[in-house]
Amino acid sequence: MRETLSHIRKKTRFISIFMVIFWCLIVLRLFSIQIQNSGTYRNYSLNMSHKQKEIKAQRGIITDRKGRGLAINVKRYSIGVHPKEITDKNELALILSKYLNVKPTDLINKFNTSKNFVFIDRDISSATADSIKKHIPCLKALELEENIRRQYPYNDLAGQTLGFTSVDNIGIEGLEKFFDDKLSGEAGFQTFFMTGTGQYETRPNLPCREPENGNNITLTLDIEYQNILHEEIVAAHKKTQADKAMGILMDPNTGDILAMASSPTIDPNNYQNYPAENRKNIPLTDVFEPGSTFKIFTAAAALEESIIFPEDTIETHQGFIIIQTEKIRDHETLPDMSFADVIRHSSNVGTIRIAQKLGTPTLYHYVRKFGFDTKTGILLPGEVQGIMKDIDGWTPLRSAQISMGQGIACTALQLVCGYAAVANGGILLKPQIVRSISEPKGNIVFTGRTQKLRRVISEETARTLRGLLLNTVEAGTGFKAKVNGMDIAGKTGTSQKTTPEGGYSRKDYIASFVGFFPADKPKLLCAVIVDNPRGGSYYGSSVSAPVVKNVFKRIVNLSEDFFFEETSEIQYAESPHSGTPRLFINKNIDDFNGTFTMPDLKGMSAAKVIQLCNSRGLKPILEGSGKVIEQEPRKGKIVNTGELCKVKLSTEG
Amino acid sequence: MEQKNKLTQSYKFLSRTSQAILMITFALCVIGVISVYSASLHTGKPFMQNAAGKQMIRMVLGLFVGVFIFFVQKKVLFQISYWLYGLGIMMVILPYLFGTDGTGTSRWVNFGGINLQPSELMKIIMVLAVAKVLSNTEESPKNFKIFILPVIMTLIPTAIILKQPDLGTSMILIFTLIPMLFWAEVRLFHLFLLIAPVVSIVTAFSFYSFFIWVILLGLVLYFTQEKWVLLIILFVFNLSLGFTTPILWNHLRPYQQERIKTMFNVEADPQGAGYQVIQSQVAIGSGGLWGKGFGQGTQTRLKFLPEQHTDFIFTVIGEEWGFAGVSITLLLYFSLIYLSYQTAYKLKDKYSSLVVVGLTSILFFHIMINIAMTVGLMPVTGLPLPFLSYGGTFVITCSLIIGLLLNMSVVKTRY
Repeated sequence: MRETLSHIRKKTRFISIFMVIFWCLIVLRLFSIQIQNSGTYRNYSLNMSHKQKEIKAQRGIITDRKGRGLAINVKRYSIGVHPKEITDKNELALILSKYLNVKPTDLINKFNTSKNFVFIDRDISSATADSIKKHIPCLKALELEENIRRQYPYNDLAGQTLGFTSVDNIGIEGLEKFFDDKLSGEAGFQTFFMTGTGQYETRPNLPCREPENGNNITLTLDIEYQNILHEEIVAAHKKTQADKAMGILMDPNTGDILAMASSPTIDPNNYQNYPAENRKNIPLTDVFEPGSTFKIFTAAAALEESIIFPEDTIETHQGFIIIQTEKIRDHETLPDMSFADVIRHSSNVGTIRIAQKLGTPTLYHYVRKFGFDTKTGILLPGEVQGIMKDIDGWTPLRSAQISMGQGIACTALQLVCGYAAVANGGILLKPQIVRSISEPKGNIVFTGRTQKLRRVISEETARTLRGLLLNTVEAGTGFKAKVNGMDIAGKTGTSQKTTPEGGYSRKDYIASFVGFFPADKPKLLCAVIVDNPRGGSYYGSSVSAPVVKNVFKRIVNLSEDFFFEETSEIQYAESPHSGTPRLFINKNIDDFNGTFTMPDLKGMSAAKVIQLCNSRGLKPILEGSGKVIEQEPRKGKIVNTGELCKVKLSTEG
Repeated sequence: MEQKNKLTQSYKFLSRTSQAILMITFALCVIGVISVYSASLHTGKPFMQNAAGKQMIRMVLGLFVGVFIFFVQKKVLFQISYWLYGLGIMMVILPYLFGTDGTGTSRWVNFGGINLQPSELMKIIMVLAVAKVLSNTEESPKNFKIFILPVIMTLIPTAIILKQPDLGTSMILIFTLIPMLFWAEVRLFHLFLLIAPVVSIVTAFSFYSFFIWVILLGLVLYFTQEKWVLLIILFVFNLSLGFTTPILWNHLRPYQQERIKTMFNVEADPQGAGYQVIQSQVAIGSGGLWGKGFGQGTQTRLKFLPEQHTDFIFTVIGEEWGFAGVSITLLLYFSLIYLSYQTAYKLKDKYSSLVVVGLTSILFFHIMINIAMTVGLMPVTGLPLPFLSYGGTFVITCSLIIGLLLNMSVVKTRY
């Protein structure tokens, strides 16, 4: 059967048209994606295969003034698998389960996934990671990622000051937050080739950048002092069943904060387990009415303005004073007394009379000059400036109240700074918490130099005030802070808490004590404030003063800096001009009875050890000759009177 | 003596067109081996041990098979066509009985250690058998009987293969039948009868497409000038098919729907729908005009591209040789198909002509569906690309097709 030519043509034409249409479609499509939109697809392809992996920078560490790490980094590992690369799931699961404390069946369940990557454990130690690396056959399927975790070795010591970081190592409280940009450093990156199965491959010459580690911060804190203050504050808090308690230890000559403690405490290692309230660094975030501790500033103003002299008599025999119909009483009626005794006995009436002589504008001027109603500018987050009325609001009554520490609210830190001015000879300092900030390589980029804000009072006035405060401890309201052989100076304060209704509470008090020593040339200044002590006494003299006393005592015990070879008579501040600046130790310090912290004996001579043991009631057992190389009990241990003190001596080293 | 004479005659008369077809095939095979080699570079194995080496061995095997079928007399082929058909049907049933994965859903069957896909060979057998039916000189192809017989002969293996499930091969069987029927000059109305229900089902999923189709259907039926009764029956049949399809679909349980969906996307798609197609487009697109060069295809080497040495081999060429390389490949394919169809219409022997059309159509639809898939114009169906894709049975199939094609065209010159 022959076909006609037209038939054949018709058939072939039809098929040809169909073919040409199809080929044109394909070529057009290819033209579109390969020529027109090639760039888009190329970028898409690059993004798919070039993966940038962040190399985290190491967060800077925070150390105390002697270089002991307070916030450090530890290496942890997270481990994951690429299920598609596993050759033998059962075998791998069995081996891994040995190291990871997981059931093999659970692991196999994790392996059976369509995902390219699954995490097995996000927190394993580097030792475990190392042994896994050594013993696992199918390393290609495994991925061990190094994670740097923040750790706080001293747990809740200075917890609020240090603050803490989030899981992503971002500072969210305290110093960690305040210096986050300095500490965090800058992350680097490395570029990898990523395969379709989710595996990374390294190639040479891919863009990368080394991470820049964060700066290290050295604080002014001394962790040993911090420990002492912390223990004492926590103990006081517990003993008095108070709402909270806080303390600051400062070097009044430099403004360095040596210790700062708040109770309730927080452990930054697991801050999630504590109420949010505990995170507050209350010495600078909470305000309170300082009460009698504030009277020293009224006295300072009066002395500086030469309105009054310590020997001048003040009329206090009535026991009360009436201002604008308000009757302000003394806690006990005393006969007329000298200005010195007004401070010693903490007389409200006497103080008000001095303030009246001074006049409201001058008092206001001095209160401001001492740094109240102004942030101290410490390098910590959350500081408040306190509450104080503007001068227009200072009625005669308010003025009188403020002169004795009522109607004004300040932070513990402000109070400490004011006292530091008295202690150091009249200069208001900016409190320092950061001693230095250094780059990872060691270049120091910031030094916390002593910052003198202004002279508030003359050295002469300051010296007189120190004498008054020494007197207060020796023979006044602050007697409970007295240690025989240590000339501690200080002032107590007991203020009624304000109620929400605006009046003063009759049962809630704030007990405070600010002290420094040695009175003549202060090296340490300590303030302890107990908020709302319950169950017994609520006076600053009985609640806070003993805490300060303990702190000073323990510090003296701890450090050789405070031991002095010569014994001498105790210098009283009544005669501040006599003699060279002398420090305080007596051979028989009866007050050291009981418990104390073992000092560091290393390098001491045998004679000195015996002298020291005698003074503390320890029984010395010496071995060898020369200088001390070993001691038992070790440094820092709490020991009781009567215990043995064994030391090994050696002529070498 | 006579045998030898015949042999030399065969070579002598191997026409220019046939020579061209042979050369294009060789060229494509070379491109194929290079591409498979590039796609398997990331395994790090030496040439002979990776997929490219295996592919080479298969091609040599294919050459023998092709040469063998080339020398089988056309007469013999004509005579055993139906027998082969019966054998083919048995073979496609085999996987249900002895499927390599034992579940009865495999399309593979193991012949003495070699895995084979009987459905691949079924394509060729189908062409031979249908060609024999259509080249019947006693009855006119306009006759409905001559039309319906090949349709039934195709639908039987199609149904079996569809259940494996292998949508790609089933589609190839149907698509190959249509040009053959067209070439044999069955009535266009009959051809329309075959195509219409498929279109009805497909368009039924969208109201607008179905609406347009119904109008078109009505017009076409009107102009055929057939008996009214028949036309109305046909119209109503297609209409009801369209209406019931969505209803039936909605009545299917989700897992059943899923099963049908997976037929359209046989290769399990691990990273979500469309992943393969997107990856393929990105790879081809990023190749640009000149490509990234041999072995430099990042999408390929980094294993983003799935099935890269089998179904997506065209993508490898696109990424590494760019628009230029792809154009050359397309030109070779176009020439091959064009020359083959030309051979078909030059052949005066109807059986040979139909076999050539059928075989060419197999190649053409493979090329069309595969390339359209890689550039994102069609869903993923899992059909390999002739001469380029890696795959044992398919290489043999392609060799057989070329061998038969040349066999048919050479025989023609002896008349």
